Amino acid sequence: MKLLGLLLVSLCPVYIGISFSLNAKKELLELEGFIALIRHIRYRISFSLAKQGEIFSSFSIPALERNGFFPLLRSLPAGGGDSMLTRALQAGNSFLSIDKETGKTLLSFGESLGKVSLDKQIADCDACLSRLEDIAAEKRKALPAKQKLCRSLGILIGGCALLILI
Amino acid sequence: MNSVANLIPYLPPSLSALITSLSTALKQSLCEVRLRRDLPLSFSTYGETFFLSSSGKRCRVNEAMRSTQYDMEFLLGNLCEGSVYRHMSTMKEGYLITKEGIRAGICGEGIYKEGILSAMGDCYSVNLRLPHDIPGIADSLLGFFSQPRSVLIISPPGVGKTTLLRDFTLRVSAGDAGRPLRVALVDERREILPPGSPCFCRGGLIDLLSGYAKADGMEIATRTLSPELIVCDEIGSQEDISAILAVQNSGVPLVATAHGSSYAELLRRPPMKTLLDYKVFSMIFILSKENGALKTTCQEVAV
Repeated sequence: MKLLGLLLVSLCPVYIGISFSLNAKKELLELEGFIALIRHIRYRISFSLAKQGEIFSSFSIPALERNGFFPLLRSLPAGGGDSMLTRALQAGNSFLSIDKETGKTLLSFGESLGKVSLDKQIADCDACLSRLEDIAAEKRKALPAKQKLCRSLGILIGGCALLILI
Repeated sequence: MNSVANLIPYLPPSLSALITSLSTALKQSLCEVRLRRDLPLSFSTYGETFFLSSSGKRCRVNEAMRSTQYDMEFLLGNLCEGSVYRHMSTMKEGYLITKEGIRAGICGEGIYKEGILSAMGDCYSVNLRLPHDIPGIADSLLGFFSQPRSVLIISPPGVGKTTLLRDFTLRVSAGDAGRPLRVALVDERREILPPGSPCFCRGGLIDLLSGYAKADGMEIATRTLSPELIVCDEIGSQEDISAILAVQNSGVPLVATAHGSSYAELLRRPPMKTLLDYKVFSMIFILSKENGALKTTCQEVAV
């Protein structure tokens, strides 16, 4: 029992470190998923003036399917006050792993989605894409170091805990 | 056509609740609902315009419920199915049409690009006109159709030209004037017979050109559909007149509507005068309203 307890206490920080590391990866994957979504929106609006409902029903990306965002998005009705994207982002706040800056950029884009002329809509898509790609580039650069840090800290704390308890 | 039931899903919550609370009789007679940003909501039946307070009671204009900016944006978002960019071409012309045939006349901030109206910015007014199917309204017109002929139906706005044209098209194609006629209906604004409309069950041999510009629709109809009658709504522009004169060479009669209150008034408008000078129409059918009731006058035109 004592051994089991020691193992649990030492492995918990390792598990937490690995979780943080995976979460950092998940955050980047979701961000890349949103970038692909905005590109798809831009494409469908530019070439076929597709309605919001049609745009979202014709697109899928694993990172945003797995976390339940796309099923939520597709279930929302088009029209009304806020865009489908805005409503989905607000409702999905609890399970999305995107950071504040990404969330703010997407919400700002969602406010104008479906409410402005074609030229303005395409310009808004481009502005949103540009900002998201900048954020993604920073995260991609920082990801390996961040993951290494999380794992290392987890192992270090686990090892220290084990030593202290022994 | 259950126009009010079709309208309610498009409305902002406060207004949909208000209209839902109206009596059945009032809902059936409702023709227009007008929203103006920060101004009183108004409702029109065939006989009157009235105002309602937020509790649903009739009131004076200064006590009436008002539309907010949120209401306008909510309504416009629904009318555009969440995709304003898709409807910019019709919005520039000042209207939107729902799939149920509800016409929304819209106006707001005009945006110009190189001197040409390119888009509409903020929306300040929406006039929701509800289509009505009134079987029998075209009885007097059908009486003149033992043989297909070209007729121009005129009236001021809001009297019932489109409603009459709808009933006429359905019934003449179904044989109510004798035998069923092959009718090519050029429905540019999708107001006369929206695709999927329940009143289609009363129709017969109708070829529907929905959303076609009148000139294109008339040309296609005469070239490919061998119609016995062409029907279209609201002629008046030079393009319309040129298309009509071209179609007349094919010998297909035309029933059309135009804004106007008398034959003399038509003669004062050069495009319409051209049509009348060419004797395109053998009859002018004039609609008017007297004490809320529809009145029809016919004027035969010497050919």
